[in-house]
Parts: sequence; C-alpha cells; structure tokens
Amino acid sequence: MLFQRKQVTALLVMLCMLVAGAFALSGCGGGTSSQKVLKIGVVGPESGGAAQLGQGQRKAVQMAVDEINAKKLAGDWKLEVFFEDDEGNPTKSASATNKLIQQSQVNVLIGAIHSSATLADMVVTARAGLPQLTAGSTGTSITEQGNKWIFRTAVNDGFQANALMKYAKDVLKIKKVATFTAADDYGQSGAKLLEAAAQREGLQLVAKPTYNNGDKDFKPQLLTIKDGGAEGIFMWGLYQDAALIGKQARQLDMKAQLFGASGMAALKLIELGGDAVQGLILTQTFLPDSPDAKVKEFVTKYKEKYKESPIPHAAQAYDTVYILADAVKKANGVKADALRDAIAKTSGLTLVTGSPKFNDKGDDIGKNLLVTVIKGNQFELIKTVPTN
Amino acid sequence: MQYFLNGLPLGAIYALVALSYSLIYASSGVLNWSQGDMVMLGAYIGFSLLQALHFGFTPALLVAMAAVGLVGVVVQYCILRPLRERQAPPINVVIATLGVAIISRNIALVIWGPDAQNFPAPVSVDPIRLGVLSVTAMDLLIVVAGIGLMLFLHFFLQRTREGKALRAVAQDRYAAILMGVDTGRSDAVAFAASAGLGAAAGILVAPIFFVTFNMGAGLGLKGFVAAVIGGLGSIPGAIAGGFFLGILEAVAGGQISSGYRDAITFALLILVLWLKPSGLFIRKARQKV
Repeated sequence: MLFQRKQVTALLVMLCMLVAGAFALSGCGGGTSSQKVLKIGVVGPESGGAAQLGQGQRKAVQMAVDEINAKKLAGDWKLEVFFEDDEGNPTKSASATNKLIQQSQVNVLIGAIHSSATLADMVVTARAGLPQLTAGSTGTSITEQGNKWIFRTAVNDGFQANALMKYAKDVLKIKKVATFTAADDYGQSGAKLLEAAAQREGLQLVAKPTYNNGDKDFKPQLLTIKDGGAEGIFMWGLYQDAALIGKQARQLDMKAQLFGASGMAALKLIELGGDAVQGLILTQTFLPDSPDAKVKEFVTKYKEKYKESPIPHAAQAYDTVYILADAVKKANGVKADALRDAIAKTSGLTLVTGSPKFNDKGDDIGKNLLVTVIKGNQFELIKTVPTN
Repeated sequence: MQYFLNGLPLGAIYALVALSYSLIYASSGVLNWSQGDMVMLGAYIGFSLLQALHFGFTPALLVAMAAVGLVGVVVQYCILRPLRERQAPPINVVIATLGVAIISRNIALVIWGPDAQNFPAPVSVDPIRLGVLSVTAMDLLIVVAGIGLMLFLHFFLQRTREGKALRAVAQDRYAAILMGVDTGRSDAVAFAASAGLGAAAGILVAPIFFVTFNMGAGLGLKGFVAAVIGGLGSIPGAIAGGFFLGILEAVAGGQISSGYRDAITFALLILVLWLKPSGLFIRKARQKV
C-alpha cells in the first residue's frame, strides 16, 4: 500500500477543513456588505520593547469603537475593528497593513506608533488608495512626503521644538541655548528641528553635542555646553539619558534650564532623576490629571475599564476613532476618496486632546500642546499652546 | 583641568574592572568575559541590600563583594574547573565565560526588571567648588575607595599565604604544583577576589550611572581595554591602564568629539595590540601579578 490508512484519513480531514474554511471566509465577506459598516484596521507594537504604547492604542481604540457603536454616534454606520501587531518593526508593519487591506478588507488604517513603521505602512496605503491616520508617530518626515492619504493625530516633533524655543525666549528671556541630543534617528531629527526653531526665534545656539545610545558619562559634553555659556539645554532623547544628564549637570554646578520633548515624558524620568530634574520643562499632549472635563471623562472611563491610567498614545488613538466616526457620517460611504476628503475637512469636534483640524500636509493643527514642568513627583501644567 | 578631574572617578572604576580581568588571566590564563556582569550583579545585590534590607552603604558594599565573590567561586568550581580537567581548548573556556555573562544578565533581567534603578548615593552628589573647578563628594569617595581596594589587594598578594600561592601559580603554574601549591584552591581564590573587585566597582559606579541589567557589557569592555592597554595580567599595568583610559575618555570626549569617544578608545586598543602588545606601562619583560 502506498499510504497508511491513518495518513489517508489525516489528508481527508485536512482537505475538509480547507474547503470549510474557504466557505466560511466567503460567507463572512458576503454577509457584511449589506450593512453600513466602516472597517478600521489598527497596526501597532503590541509586543516587544514598545508594547506599552501599542497596547494603549489597542485598548483606547476598542473603547472608542464600543462607545460609538453603543450610542450610535456615527449615524447609521457601525464600526468594526481589526488589530495587527507589528512589534515596532517596519517590515512586519507593512505586511500587517497588507494583510488588513487584502484579508480584512479594511476601509481605513490607524497606525503605526514607530515613525519608521508608519512610513513603511504609508507606501502600502498610498498604493491601495486608503486613508491612514497615525496616532503615535511624531517624526516630521511623515507629513513631508506629499502623500495625500496620511493624517497625523500625534503632535509633529517640529511643533514641539518651536513651542519649547518660543517659551524659552518669551517667558524665560533666554538668549543662548544648546541642544544635547541622542545620536539616533529620533534624536537627530529633533536636533535639526531645535536648531531651526532656535534660528526662527533668533536665539544663539552655542553648542550642539550628541551622545551615543548606552552612554553613561555625559560630563565632557556638558562641559562644552557650560563653556559656551548656554542658559538653556534642550534634550531630545529618552528618559533614562535625560535623568542622567540632569544629575551630571547638577554635579558640574550648572545652572542652565533643562528642556525636553514628549519622548522622555514618563514618570520614570522623575523617579530616576530625583532632585536633579526638578524644574525640567517639557512638552506633552496629554496629562491624565488635567482639570479639563473631556480629559477627566476619558481617564475615568479608561481606568474603570482597564484598571490603569491611560498614556498619551491612548488618548490620541481614542480621538482618532472619533474623527473617523465623524468622517464616515459626513461622507455617508466608505469610498476611499470621499472618506479621505471628509477626514481632511474635520472640524467642530471637541475631543480629549483638542479640536482636530488638519492642515494640507495632514498634521493636526487643532491640538493642545501642553508645556509642563516637573514639580515634586509629577508633571505640572504651565501653559497650553495650540499647535498651529 | 576639569576634564582631567572628571576622568579620575571613571578611571578608578575602569582600574578595578581591569584588575579583575588581569588577576584571573595572570593566575589561570583564562580570559573571563563574565567579569562585566559581576560588576552588574554587585550593583544589584548592593541595591537590594540597601533598599529591601536597609543596610548601610559600607556593610552593603562588603556583603555584596562577598556574595559576588561566592558567585565567582561557583563559576570557577562548577564550570571552568571541569573544563580544565577535561583539557578543553582555551576557546571553549572563553565561550563558557561568555555563557556565564549572558545567564547572569538574564537572571538580573528576571529578578530586577528591564528598567533602570536609582541607586541612592551614600554621600552628597552636590558640587564642591574649588575655584573654577568642581568635584562631588561621591567622586572623591570613588577614587579613595578604589585606591583603598587596590592597596588591600596589594597587601593580600604580598603578605598572605593565599596571595603568595596565587603569585607563585601566576609565575609558573607547574613549578607551583611541584612545590605543593594547591592550584585548584588558588584558582578559586583568584576568581573570588576578582569577582569581589568587580562587585565593588559596580556598587561604586551605581550611584552615578544608575543600575541596569546590561550595565556590565559596557563597563566590562572598557575594563578589558584598560587591562590590555596596561598589559593583560599585570597588576600595576591594570591600575595605570584604568586611570589612563578614564582620563583619556574624559579629555578626548570634551576636546575632540564626544561622538568619537568610543572610537578613540578602541583605536587605541588596536594600536597597543599592534605596537606594544605587552602593554603601554610595562617596561621589561612581562612581570605577572
């Protein structure tokens, strides 16, 4: 006998499963087309080093979708959501996006968190002709591609750099500044933006040293900054480095004001930096303990559902779903062009992180950028600046 | 001048790590790549003693040194000795020490988590002004404690029975065996002493650099470079190499470019290996321990 009986049985079973599977798939596809459904694909790092960000995005999107469907906030339209994990890896992100478009037939994509992953996804969505909104990527280049399908509900790093320099000049009357940035993509794009912002404000940039990832001794660079006579030091990197820089600046008896961007806005910064980061000024888009009514409502609901405090990425993702609900209602259809134009014309919404309004590059210019200062063991709001 | 001053505490740390490499290399000919991770273990054990058991700094330092010293003995006894008895080629021994390094790092990751921890400083980290210069009490403590440990090691090697046995083995292993020295015992002593030195380096550096599970990789590599620059296997060479590297990094980082700091360090390593492989600070033929 060529085959054992067992093998034949196994083969038959597998064949049956394949056929059944194919039927199930086609049945599913056919069933939904009669209803008014907007299919949303979500890509983000749900595992790996930035899992916290991707999980926050997923939880907030799910919460917003449930609310909108329960309260019929999108008119006759029902939202359906599909999640894919990209582990923060651009290649995986692009294939996850492909899978969402081909297999789940989504009408719009929310994602990704890492700027490099978002850029990779944009190639896929632009080819398919599908609107994409990123709620987590801050890299400037995303909205510099001339790609009409991309929208950003995170805050462009460029806005943050401008707001920081403006605050330093107008409020603190600082004249000489230095940048101190990580020698990676994130830090170097920040360095360029800070330099441009300093130029725009007419501030003198006296030093712009960098550091490598994993460096622990920042004193040589700090001494260069000190010798240049900088009154403000603008850091662009992650919290662990910023905490050490703060400590070592203090050990060198430096009195310059420290500034930072949203990338280091974690409570761990305060825990590690202690006294040395008191008074550090940084921009963020979301403070969970803000007195704003919308924020309070969101934080309460989120805490009730997930037993944890929402991160900024979650607030932005939550708002993004509300923007989509509004767009699909106005477009009254899921045709890509109509949906895209409706998103582009978003206005009149008051959401958790501001009143969204997109410029022609796709950046949200109706967002509130929060200038905060570290006081005690928390971030305190000094000033709210619009991002236009 | 301020750059020079900043290089001293870093130099003392590098010197301690370099010593721990050289001690083992001299006595048993093994290049122990887990040395950097002994530094990390020392820092974490010290951290836990301070935080959870409310030890003072000095008792925590001593207990952590002893505990990590014990880890060194266990590594030597359970992993390296069986390899030596089977007459494994040296490369296998080196790979085994790399394994120990990776295992230690992962154990630390499981126990203490991936986030950096803030190690409370035993003395003030506020600057003390000396004219245009400034130092902190913590910097002084690192340098003083580092030199103290080096003196203690010197005394141990010169005056105690164990230390003399170690030097005899370093000079000529077979002659030492013939003279009745227990080489297994002296190997264990060398591993304990060098792991203990590493632990001390870890606790001294922790208040200024935080404690992280991967802190051993960078410090271990720099300590190794310092040991090679000074002449691998030489005690005075390791000390000189450590301080030299610390000061070089501080000055080059400030005056040339901080981005090229590590490149300068490793370029120097290659130059030394090329031009003077016995070490910059060794005048005559190699003098061990």
